[in-house]
Amino acid sequence: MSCVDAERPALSPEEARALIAAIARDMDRGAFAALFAFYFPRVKAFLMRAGAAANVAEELAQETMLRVWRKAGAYDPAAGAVSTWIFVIARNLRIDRLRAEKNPQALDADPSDAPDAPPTGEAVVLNGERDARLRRALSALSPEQAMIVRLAFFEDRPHSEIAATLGIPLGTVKSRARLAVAHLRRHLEDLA
Amino acid sequence: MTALLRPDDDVLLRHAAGLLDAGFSLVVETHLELSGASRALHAGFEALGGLLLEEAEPAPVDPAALNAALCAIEEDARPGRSVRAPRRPEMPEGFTLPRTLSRCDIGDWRWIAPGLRSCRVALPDAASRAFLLDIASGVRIPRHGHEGDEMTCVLRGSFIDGGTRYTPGCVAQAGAGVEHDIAVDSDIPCLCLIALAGRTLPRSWLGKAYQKFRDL
Repeated sequence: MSCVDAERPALSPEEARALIAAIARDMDRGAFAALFAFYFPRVKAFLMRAGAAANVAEELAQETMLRVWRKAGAYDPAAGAVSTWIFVIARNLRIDRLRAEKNPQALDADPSDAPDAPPTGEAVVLNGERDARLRRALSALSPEQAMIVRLAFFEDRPHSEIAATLGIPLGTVKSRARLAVAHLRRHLEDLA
Repeated sequence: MTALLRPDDDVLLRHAAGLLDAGFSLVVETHLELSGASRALHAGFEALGGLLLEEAEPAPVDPAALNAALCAIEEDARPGRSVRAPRRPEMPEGFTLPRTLSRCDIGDWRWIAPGLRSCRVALPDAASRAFLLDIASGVRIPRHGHEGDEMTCVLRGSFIDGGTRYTPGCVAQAGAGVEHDIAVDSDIPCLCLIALAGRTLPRSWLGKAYQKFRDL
């Protein structure tokens, strides 16, 4: 597992925004390829950690990237970073797939892929600032807390299982998870 | 019953991560639509998902994947999916269902007890149940406990629970084992969306009537 502070992403938020804009404006396939190279393997990794088999994860990651292509024009920088937008698309596709497997007759609810921040003129700056704070907040967590946040966020692991994995008591996991969420929340609320 | 008027941080985080079951997701989404109380925090948790995605260790992928995607783009004539209109019973006059709920199939109203009626909201998974409860002005729902978690979002009117007043957009959460009772204090009936993870344990005849409906 990599560390936030040790490794800057190879694609900056500004670069990602520019790529999306180029897709939306010019149907720029080169921009799509660059975005694909960065996000496709990461979306697949996220889906596999969330429990999808490798082939299903690959298929859903492919669908995610196609939706990015189709909806590039609808991406609103004021609503959040490109990484957040792509995360939400992948998350929703994963939920749709899980539900379709359980209930093929389910109504297609077409959940919106837009993150739900209010779109204001200042929002882009504010969101950029928030993301930078989140990055710092994440890297300020103890390695164990960071691990707990990642396990809880990506893998839907019950606290009891996390306790077994990390070899610490269940009560400790629960209290550290609460602390970690409270810590992130403080960083988020300073901006709210 | 905790005195929070919005879902717990943990519930918001789980929703942002896509890990909440369908019933609780519906309550959270309705709450986010009707109230601004959790929007910034929820958006922050989604941004956290984006950051964690950025820093994820890339998975090995099929080298032909990009080509496949580019081909799919070329022949991108999406067939229009036919989406039928959701079915739903008549809603109180002057009340518009939140957009989140207007996408759901909703069953017919059923009489539960005097001043109390309810209808099931169809969910795409079976891990939880959701329904609308319409409670007449002045009606109390006596003490009842829970085997599992319960989450309620007020859609119209208001109720009091444990000295706290819940108005449209507010969320009340009750965990397993918590007993509570509620009283509608608005002049109009109080309409709520409720999601349940377990069965409600009734402590009175009204609670029993309530459970009879719940078992349907």
